[in-house]
Amino acid sequence: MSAFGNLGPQDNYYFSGIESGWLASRFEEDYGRFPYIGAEKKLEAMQKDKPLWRRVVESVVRRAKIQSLAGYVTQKIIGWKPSPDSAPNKLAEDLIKVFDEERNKRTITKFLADAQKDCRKHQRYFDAVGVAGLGKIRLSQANQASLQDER
Amino acid sequence: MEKQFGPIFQQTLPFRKDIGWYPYCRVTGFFQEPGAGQSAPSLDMVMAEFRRPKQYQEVGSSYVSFLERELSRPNYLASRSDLLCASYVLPIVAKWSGIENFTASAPAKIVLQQYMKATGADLPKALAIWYANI
Repeated sequence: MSAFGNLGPQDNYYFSGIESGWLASRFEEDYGRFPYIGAEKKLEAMQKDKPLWRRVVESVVRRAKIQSLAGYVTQKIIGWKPSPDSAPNKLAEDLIKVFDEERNKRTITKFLADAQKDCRKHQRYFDAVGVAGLGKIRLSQANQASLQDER
Repeated sequence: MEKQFGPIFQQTLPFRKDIGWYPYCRVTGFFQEPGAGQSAPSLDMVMAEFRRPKQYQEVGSSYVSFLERELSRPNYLASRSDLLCASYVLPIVAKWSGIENFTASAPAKIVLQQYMKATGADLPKALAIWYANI
């Protein structure tokens, strides 16, 4: 129901300035976020239900540049320990946890292969998909203790 | 209901209870079909976005001039729905600019009183107090 009550059929609740003009010009162009996030339990549940590819992509897009990600993961795999005053970066830890889940070990190769196939379509591709870590140790065999100390 | 849900929504634009309407708002959430005994679907709100009003200092006086022109020679506000929709702009802009108790200048007060007369009993009820105190 309209806030204006029953105005009759001649108006059709059409506001002439809603898209541009006298009303729109009194508001900023861009949308800003209202400071509230709700339905957290449903969001959490949805997050768990997400496929692997989506969780990985969202982690990367939200929190880090890919260049820095690669460097950070490498450091973790070869055992280099950052100094205690390093800026916290939970991204690598999150990714490693995702990759290490038993059900994901079976799908990670498919994920990379599909990503490669998709990139080829757009003429942006890598030549091979690696599944054996970085020549030192498999990701899934990394020392868990060394992966849990960053917060 | 989540903590602080009521105060957050009732006292903050774009959901202020003392305004009651907002033109530019996008709500994202989880839709649920009505269950047995329920007449309407529900939406668990996750996120809301809105186009913020400009500051009163920027658009206030020009908007009063706009109203004055439209009252004497209706063009943009020729339809009843547009005329009534226009009633929300100044309260929204003023409250967003931190002006909780709006006091119009003498010339602006005359224009706004003419505007109230034009809207008559159709002036949105939520705004009646705001316009009564100008």
